[in-house]
Amino acid sequence: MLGIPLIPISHLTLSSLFPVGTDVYLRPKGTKDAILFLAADQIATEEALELLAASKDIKLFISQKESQKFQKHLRDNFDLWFENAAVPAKNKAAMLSEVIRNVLSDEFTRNDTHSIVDATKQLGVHVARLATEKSLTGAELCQILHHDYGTFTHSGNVAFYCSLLAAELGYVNEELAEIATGGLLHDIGKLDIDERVLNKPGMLDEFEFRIIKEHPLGGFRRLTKVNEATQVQLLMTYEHHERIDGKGYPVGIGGNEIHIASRICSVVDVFEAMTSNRPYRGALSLKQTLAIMTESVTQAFDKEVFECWETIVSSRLGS
Amino acid sequence: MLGNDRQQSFGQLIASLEMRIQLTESLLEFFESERGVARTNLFELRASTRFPCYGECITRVVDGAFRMPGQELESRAIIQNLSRKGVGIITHQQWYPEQTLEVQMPSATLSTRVARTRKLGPFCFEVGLIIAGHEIIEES
Repeated sequence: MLGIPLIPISHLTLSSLFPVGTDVYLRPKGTKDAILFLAADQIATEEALELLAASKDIKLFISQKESQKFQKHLRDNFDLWFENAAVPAKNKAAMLSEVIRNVLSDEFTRNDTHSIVDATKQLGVHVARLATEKSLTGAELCQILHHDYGTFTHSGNVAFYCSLLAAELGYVNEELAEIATGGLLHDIGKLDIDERVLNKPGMLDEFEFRIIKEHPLGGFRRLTKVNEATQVQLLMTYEHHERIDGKGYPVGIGGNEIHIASRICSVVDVFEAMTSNRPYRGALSLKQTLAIMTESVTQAFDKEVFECWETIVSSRLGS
Repeated sequence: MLGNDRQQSFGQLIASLEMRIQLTESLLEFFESERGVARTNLFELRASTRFPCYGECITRVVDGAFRMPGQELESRAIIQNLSRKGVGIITHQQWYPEQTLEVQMPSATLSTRVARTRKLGPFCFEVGLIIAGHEIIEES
């Protein structure tokens, strides 16, 4: 396998029900060469999947060339997986996370707001359904999701976190799905920002920071032109950088003037950004992130919302 | 064609609306002292020069335009500055980007679109409006 560029995949995206559609390779820790684990038309056995789940030293890969094929396979089989009661919630979350990254990547590249809103609506329903699955914990979700910071990954993760937090705060059904979709859409305004500014590895200068700060406004403007976007989604997009002390942007409103869905989004947006790898720093640990966020909780966040989020994720700190 | 309520005098109309804006100290200073051309900086990327002024106006949500819950259809506001393409007003309620408002002044009615809103204090929002059209009201 030497010489073929490989990309890692999660073992949770494999199933004993369907073939994966692309060749899958494995590489035990400490070894250089990857070996074929499953051919494209083969189905993984339950025993093999259990072994993979138990081992932290074995990583799975697919050929980079077959990435699109793999994503198509996931999207094609997604509904079948999702409706199957035998598939554990964490596998569904892993697969949904992959599908979201792929769909957002396609849709954001196409840059058609109508199409983006349409695609995210259905994904939001799935995210919300998973958030209410009792068997999926916040800690597990943090582990499953990708943490390479990019607008698609970030938006997908924020949607998962938003719905988990909203579910804990008592939101259900349509409201929960609406918030999940809002999480997927909250950074849509970044599509109007030059990638050189958005992905700049170093510190932003004042002018660049002003450009970045335009994204809630730009996102809101985009969504007002689409009938399908709900008021909650509009506000999540517009207000997720507002602070509880009124020192945020774009308006500078504070406290209860900020919609509850935006206050939820604000907490998990910061959490997600800090726990992700950035070009200029590695991901912060959950403990570090929560400690930093706790320091500014009374200025930046709704205390009650933050404490609820802290409870959801801190279960992992002891482990 | 002006509607019945629009045919009333501007004075009568504005007197029927409550002034709910709480002007901040810095705004009071602004209205007392600012004359000539409004200060700006490169970062604001403005296209036109703004001229500070003070005057009252009525903001009205255009029929069929989107409106957030709790927003009043018609309210009293203060004109802060004017430029060739826009008007800056102070209001007691928040307006959202892309909302379309009619701004009625003593001698003209402007059709406008909200560009941005910034909160200056309780019941005090600075709203930047882009002028889409205007109608001169002739004295009868």
